[in-house]
Amino acid sequence: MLIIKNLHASVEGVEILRGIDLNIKAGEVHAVMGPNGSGKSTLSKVIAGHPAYEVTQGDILFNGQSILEMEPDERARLGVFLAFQYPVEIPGVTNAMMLRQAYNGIRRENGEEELDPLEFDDYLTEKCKLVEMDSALVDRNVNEGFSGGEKKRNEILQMAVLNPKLAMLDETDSGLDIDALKVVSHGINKIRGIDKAILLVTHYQRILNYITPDFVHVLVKGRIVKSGGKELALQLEDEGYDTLLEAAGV
Amino acid sequence: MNDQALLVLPELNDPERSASRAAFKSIPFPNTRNEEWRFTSLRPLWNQSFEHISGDETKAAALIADLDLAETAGRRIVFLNGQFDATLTDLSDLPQGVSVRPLAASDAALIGQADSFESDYFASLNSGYFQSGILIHISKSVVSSDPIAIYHVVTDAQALALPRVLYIGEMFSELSLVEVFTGIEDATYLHVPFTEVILKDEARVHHFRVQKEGNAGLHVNRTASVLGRGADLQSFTISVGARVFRNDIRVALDGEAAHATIDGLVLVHENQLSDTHSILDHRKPNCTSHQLHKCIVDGVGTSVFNGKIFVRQIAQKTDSYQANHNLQLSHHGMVYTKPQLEIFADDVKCSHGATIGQIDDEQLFYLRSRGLSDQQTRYLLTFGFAAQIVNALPVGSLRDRLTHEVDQFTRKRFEIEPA
Repeated sequence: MLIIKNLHASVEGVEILRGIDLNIKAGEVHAVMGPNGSGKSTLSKVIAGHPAYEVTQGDILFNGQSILEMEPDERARLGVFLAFQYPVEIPGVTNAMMLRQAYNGIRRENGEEELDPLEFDDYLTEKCKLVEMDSALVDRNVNEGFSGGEKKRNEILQMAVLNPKLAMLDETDSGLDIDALKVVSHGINKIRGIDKAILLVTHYQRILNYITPDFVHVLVKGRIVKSGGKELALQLEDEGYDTLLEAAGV
Repeated sequence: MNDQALLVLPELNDPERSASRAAFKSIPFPNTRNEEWRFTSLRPLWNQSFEHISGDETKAAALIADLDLAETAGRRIVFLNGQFDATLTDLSDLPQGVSVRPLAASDAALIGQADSFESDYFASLNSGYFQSGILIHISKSVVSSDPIAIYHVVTDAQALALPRVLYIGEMFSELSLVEVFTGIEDATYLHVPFTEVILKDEARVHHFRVQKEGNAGLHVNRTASVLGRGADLQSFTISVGARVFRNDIRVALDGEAAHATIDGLVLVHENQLSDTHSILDHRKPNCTSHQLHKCIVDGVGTSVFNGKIFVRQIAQKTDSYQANHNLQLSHHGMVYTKPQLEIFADDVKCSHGATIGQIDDEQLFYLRSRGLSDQQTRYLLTFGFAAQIVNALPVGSLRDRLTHEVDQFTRKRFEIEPA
């Protein structure tokens, strides 16, 4: 589904990603771990098409098609989703209003009929139940005045509504207490499926207790220095990143 | 002299308003060398001749219908080309304790009470020459949730419309007043309304003002309020129409613990100019005030904001908030903003701020990453910027109508089809 080849990306002239190769197939869950400043978040933002990052080398193929030249919204309509580490507040625009327009845009793209406001309401209520979110939150302005946990849960709701093919979660676990983490993980697991791929960006192994990854990659200074199965995450938790950093000679 | 408007005024000789007429005659026509008019050129008025013209009731009825507010049925006052219009006015459903009557010569002592501020060319023009005026009076302890509407309508090119409104809210009274200013398209006219609001102790009024003049209309107004002890003024102004709109708001917090909110939303495009000059005068201790003024500027439009807050030496424990946020959508729009605080008391809390900016990049990316196109995203963010103010309006039909107005304006900016 997603093939990343020798990806180099920089922001304001500083190279952050220095040659990433990654292959994610449908049905798989990949976890990308790494110390602060390793480029984990950058990787997910570059895939989503953040305009601040410049890709200087390499390519990103989504279902066989290069998406590098595509605008962020084109990528989203193809089925790429990013749950933000720091969800943005949008004053004056309700969750329901934003999601209806976004969802109908995706349906149009797929040649499906748009949902009218009433139909969409039903659909949204059902998705709220799925991620155990109070449906009153959908009539509030996007993330405005939400607690940290509500913001993260709102990202998962948006993911459930937009039903992407590739879901990237950028440190969705950070700042969550254990109950919120369980709810969020539960929501992600419900969305998991054979036709979907998930890229979990995380600093800690904790969330992987709830979402079992098929592959774990360790990102250090813009390169993947080690890949393995879920046991790699446990090893990292025990030993920290230092051993790996030394082994990688950085 | 050709850098001024040519006003054809009647010869009046009533003694009550002779002082205002004398003041008017002594004040020169404003130009941009005058600090109060520095960014607001009245060039569109130059060499234009304006006079009192009787209006067209059929056209007026159509303009009113376009801005119909269901909650105000049976409580509508209409001024047509500045003249009180008894035919279009409908007061069949006034709440008990609320009276509306024309201002008479014997009311001279009532007029000007709320306006303890320096007079200028247009304020004294209205005070000296207003064609007709009305007095809305709310008796003591009368509280009504049924809003009253005043439609100020202009139906003719070159009309000079000078309507006058006086609102007196007695102690503990509460009412909503909606003033709508509108006129025909493609006609140059001069609309100079003057509204005074007198709130006695603990009285409260919601004063909504909708400026949707015709695209070539010129509108200069003054609204002056005086608040007694514990009185509460909730004022909101939206500016969407007119070629030139000058909005002079004056509020005197003249009793302890009074509160004034004077929020505003300005939408300008093409070559429109919208200018808000406000003065909040804290004259007594423990008063609070709130001013959130937002502007969206597109095309070669201009937005001017000058918000003065005076805190007099005696006005300790004043709590005042002022913010002016400007969203610029085009490269050629102009924004002038000048918050101005003059504080003479030493134990007060006053915050003020002004921002001028474009659409936020992180918000843009966030919504685009959800699949919304660049245009759709800009539309939503712009709509949200304005909706934040409109959403807070308590009168349902007015809120819906203004939401529609904001929606239409923003859709047009980003070429999004109407919903």
